[in-house]
Amino acid sequence: MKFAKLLQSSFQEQQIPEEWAEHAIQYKALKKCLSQVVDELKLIGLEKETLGILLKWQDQINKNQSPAVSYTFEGDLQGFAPKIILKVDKASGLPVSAILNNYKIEELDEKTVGEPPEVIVSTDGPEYQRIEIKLKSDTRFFHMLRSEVADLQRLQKTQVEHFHGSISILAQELASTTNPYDGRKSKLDMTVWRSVFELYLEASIFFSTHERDLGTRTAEQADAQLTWFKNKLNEQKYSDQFKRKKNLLILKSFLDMNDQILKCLYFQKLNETAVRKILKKFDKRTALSSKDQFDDFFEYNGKYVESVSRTICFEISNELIRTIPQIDDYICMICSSIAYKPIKLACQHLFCLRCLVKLRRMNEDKCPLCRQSVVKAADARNLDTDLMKYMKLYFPRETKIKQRENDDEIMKEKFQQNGLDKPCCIM
Amino acid sequence: MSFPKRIIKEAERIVSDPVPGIIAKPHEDNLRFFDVIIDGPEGSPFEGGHFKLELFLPEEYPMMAPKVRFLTKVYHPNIDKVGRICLDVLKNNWSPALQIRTVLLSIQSLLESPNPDDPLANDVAEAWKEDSSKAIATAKEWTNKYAK
Repeated sequence: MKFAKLLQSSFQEQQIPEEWAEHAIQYKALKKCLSQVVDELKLIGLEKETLGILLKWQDQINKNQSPAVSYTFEGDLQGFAPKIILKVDKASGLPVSAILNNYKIEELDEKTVGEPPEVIVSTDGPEYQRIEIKLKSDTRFFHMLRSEVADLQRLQKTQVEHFHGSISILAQELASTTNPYDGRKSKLDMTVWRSVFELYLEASIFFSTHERDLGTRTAEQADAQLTWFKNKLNEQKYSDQFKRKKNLLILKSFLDMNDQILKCLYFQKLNETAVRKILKKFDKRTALSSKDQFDDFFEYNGKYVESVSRTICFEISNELIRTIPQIDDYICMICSSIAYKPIKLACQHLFCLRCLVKLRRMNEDKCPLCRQSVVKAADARNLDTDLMKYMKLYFPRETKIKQRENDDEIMKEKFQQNGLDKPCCIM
Repeated sequence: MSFPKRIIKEAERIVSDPVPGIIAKPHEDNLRFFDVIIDGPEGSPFEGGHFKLELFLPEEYPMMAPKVRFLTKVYHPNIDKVGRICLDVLKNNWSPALQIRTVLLSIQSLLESPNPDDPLANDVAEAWKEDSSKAIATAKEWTNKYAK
């Protein structure tokens, strides 16, 4: 399938919104413009084959000499023009690769019809002349591409701002519907949300934190992860567990937003492919190397997917997920469960009371995280009472379980001390 | 058999999010036993080798370090004939904040940078100090012979 068609059908398949599609790279129009470039080059005798030979020849010459043909962008981002620079032998009027016998500069003017290219002739050393050719169609092609890319970048900025807005709104709503001071329903819904976000983080939809594939995901990978997340949500029936209807609506908005982000990734990816394809086509049909020039000159790196995933991911976890405190931020590094009751050592590292008691029993004085000698000096004053209250409020279930486990363990130890843990026997 | 939360969590994570070049598989019937394979680090004489180890979490874990031993023969100054490893974090420098994955990473980097000044296998350390290029050649030979 032709790429222009493929692009069109992909937009339909991904249900890209109309207002985005308007900003898409106009691949067809660019292709048409490219044909004009090819025609114009042919008219002045610099068709693909000729340029190919000239460019090839330049590789063999002395590195200090300026090349027989070069292709660069001149000017600034607004008023730039691509130009072909030829080096021509003064005496013969032939390009320095004298192997080309069918081309002379005088012929340039004769051959040109329609819009004449801008030609500047200057001297390049005693033997050579330097001829700069600015093709009208070439300039048009790159201005078109440039404005399309700029347009896309503006759209992308709007998209990111839009997502940013949605995230903030969701975070505010969530904060109000899960406020633990607000009664039992809110408290219960907070725990449901916690499980939802835990799953969401595990899915790491747009950005992987796994060691094997650290970094941003492609649109396809993100798609698969998002599907996984949704399936899991259904399996666990989280949406049925909400006590407040409002939370169900927030979940729906959250999922919609993720769909939108994914769509945005697909859209931008398709456009990046379009840019790459058209530049590749340009190089193939003209033998000029525009791809690197373009990337350098316009600082175009096609890393859109990456930057958006990063920004949005950061905002989701920073603004939205943080609304619901996650257990991972409050666990004891020793036992991997909630650091309750929390003891803050002099080095500011946090552990649960039980683990510190065990450490002390082993006569260990060093903090497990920073190895400072602070364990033995810790006493009742190191209990972080504010944090303890906070944990009880936000993690009611976890703190209760932990307390019970601690009590059980203490009991067991007491029995052991008294030798009562052995199976009994009848004397 | 029930296991502490920490052991369950660690076992889960090392399977779901493995360290590159390291595979650790807990025994199905006992989460305290792990079968480990560490790939020889690139650029070291152990490159291309897959080294089998066994790892065991003692009752006191994480207050005490895991017990780790090479099952594959290795020519290395800090690993002896029966696979015991001389590594500070497995002994005095153990901290309960360290984990299975950090220990295995340390072992991986020990393969990368042998330390003949703190030897466990005396003969290997001597050989390493006397003629390191010859010792490296032997290590490569052993890797080809035993770790492929």
